[in-house]
Amino acid sequence: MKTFNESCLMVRRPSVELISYIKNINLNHPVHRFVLYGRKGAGKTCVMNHVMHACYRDNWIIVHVPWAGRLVRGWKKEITESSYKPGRYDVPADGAAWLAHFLHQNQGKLKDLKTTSEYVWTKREKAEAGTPLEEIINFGMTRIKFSSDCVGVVLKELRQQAQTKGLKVFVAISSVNAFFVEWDHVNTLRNAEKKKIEPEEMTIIHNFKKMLSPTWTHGVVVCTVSEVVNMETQREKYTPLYLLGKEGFEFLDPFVPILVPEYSEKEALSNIDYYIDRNWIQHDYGKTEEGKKEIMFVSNKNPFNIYRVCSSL
Amino acid sequence: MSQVGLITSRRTLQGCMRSVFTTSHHERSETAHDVKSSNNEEGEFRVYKIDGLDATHTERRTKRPPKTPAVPRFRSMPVDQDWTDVWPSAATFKWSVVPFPVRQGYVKNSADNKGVIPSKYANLELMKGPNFLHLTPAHVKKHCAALKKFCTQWPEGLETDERCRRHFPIESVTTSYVFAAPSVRDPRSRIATIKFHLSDLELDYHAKDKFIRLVGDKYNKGTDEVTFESDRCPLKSQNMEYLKFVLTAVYFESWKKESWEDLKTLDDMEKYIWDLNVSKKNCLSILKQIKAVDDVSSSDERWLNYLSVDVSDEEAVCSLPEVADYKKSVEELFCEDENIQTINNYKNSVKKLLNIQGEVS
Repeated sequence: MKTFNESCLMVRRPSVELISYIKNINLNHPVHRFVLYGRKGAGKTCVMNHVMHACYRDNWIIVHVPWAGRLVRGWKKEITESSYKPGRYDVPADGAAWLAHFLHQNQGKLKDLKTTSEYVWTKREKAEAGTPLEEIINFGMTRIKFSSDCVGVVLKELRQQAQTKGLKVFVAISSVNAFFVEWDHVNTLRNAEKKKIEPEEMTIIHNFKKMLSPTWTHGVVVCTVSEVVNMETQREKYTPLYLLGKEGFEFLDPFVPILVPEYSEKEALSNIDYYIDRNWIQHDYGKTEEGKKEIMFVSNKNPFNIYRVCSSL
Repeated sequence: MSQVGLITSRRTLQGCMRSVFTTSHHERSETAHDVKSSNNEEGEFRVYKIDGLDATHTERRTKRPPKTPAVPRFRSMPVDQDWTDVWPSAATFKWSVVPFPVRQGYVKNSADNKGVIPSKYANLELMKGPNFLHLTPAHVKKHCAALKKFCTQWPEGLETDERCRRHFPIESVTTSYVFAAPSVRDPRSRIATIKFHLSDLELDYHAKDKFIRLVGDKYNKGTDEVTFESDRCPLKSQNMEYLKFVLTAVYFESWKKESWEDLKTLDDMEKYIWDLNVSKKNCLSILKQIKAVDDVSSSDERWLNYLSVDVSDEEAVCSLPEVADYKKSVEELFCEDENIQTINNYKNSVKKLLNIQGEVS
């Protein structure tokens, strides 16, 4: 996406705060959890991406779930029962897609990682201890039946080797409340018997949830919570406890909630000035003082709303 | 001529005959009549007038002027009049008496009544609704003045509402209905209500919780008030007695503790109690892990300075100020409304608990 011939990020207060926290934590301690919350369109995901980029430059291994809502929506998805554990369900395509995403994000960082135990896929296929992690990922991408289990293997190896090899693992999950809340009646995943599947019955979610619990070290977890993945009746507030529910809160507790507010006056102005500078706002009125004020008023300084308002100018 | 004479003679004859049968009194008047009639007519004979031959003059009555309505009363009202005399009791709105301009009604469009909301003149909408023109401050003042002679001295020591509540903790409400009808009974008058504050009852934590669960929606959490109402008995006094019985029964029932009450699970809790929830377990296990790492590490500087006590001793850990602060903030988050303030309290307490430092904005 090169609309502006460059990819820019606005450095905002929450991301600076979060980066400073991550710099100061002791990696020998159980993973610390940070939860970004804020109104829809306030830039939670952007802040998360900013922090993720900072950590990427700092040689962290990135475990990134771009939008957890994708995993829980039954948009005509193929669902198979897990061969590893009956009663669990796999989403092969999503698992493979995530493995590809993971491989792409961590190019050149996985060379030294090898499995520490043996994994048996079928009677004939198995991965010996000492198989490179990249091989496991490629196996999951080609034999997508096992992709969800491969995700589990990759995550487990990362958790184990983070401590022994001194890796730094950055776990970023967008809309983490999708793992804990009940799903929409229409969009929910259903198994072959049309029975509603609970979040914890999904292999991939089960595996990602292990990354969230403070049972491993040398890592940090950054999540966002958003209203969008909740049912339509449960979108009244944007606060973490409301969105996560009691179960989700207790799973992440104690975490550090970080508010991502809407733009301040200065931030909104610099955003609009950037749009003017890039010729995104071409209308003459949009470039005047009054026009800028009007954009800020109409969008209520919400970043996403500013983008939407300016897209037609 | 002979004809005329004949008629005349006949008439005299008639007069003679009549006079024969009348009394002397009548005789006199008869003669007077004859003289008069002879004077009116020209000469000796009267003129025979044929109807329709001569023009007749009938005097026409002039039309009465149409009735104009009287000038409305409000036009002639003095500014300093006593309104209570004008509007002494409850009455339907009367446009001619109300001295202020007022409009009410609905106009569909600009063509309807020229787009103007109808004024008070003959305005049915104003007459439909009840009005309070008989309850102005001046009226109330007069009512009070009239009622004053029936009032007694306000008892000493009950100056404020707070004192009243302390001395008379139970407030009972009954209503009597007075009206003119064949029967003076009203079914509504049997209803009795009592109100009291829950804090006025002597209850411990368990008893209070049980009391609230027993009375259900009769307890108002916002005002701490319990309201019992009864209409099950035919008489007011019976209902009142019944309510007193209910209050006594619920009070003593809530002090009892049944064996099955110990089976209360976490979902049945009346509020979030940190000590019973997963949050405590999570917190302690993390502190244990951090302490273990600290003990092993070579550097003298400890990550959690406050954690000097033995971690296996749960009570000692929980009484540490950092942990207590965290506990309080979690309970606040659950029990009170979740807002930016409570979330920030939680955030700060977690940061202190785990010693997470950074550039705080």
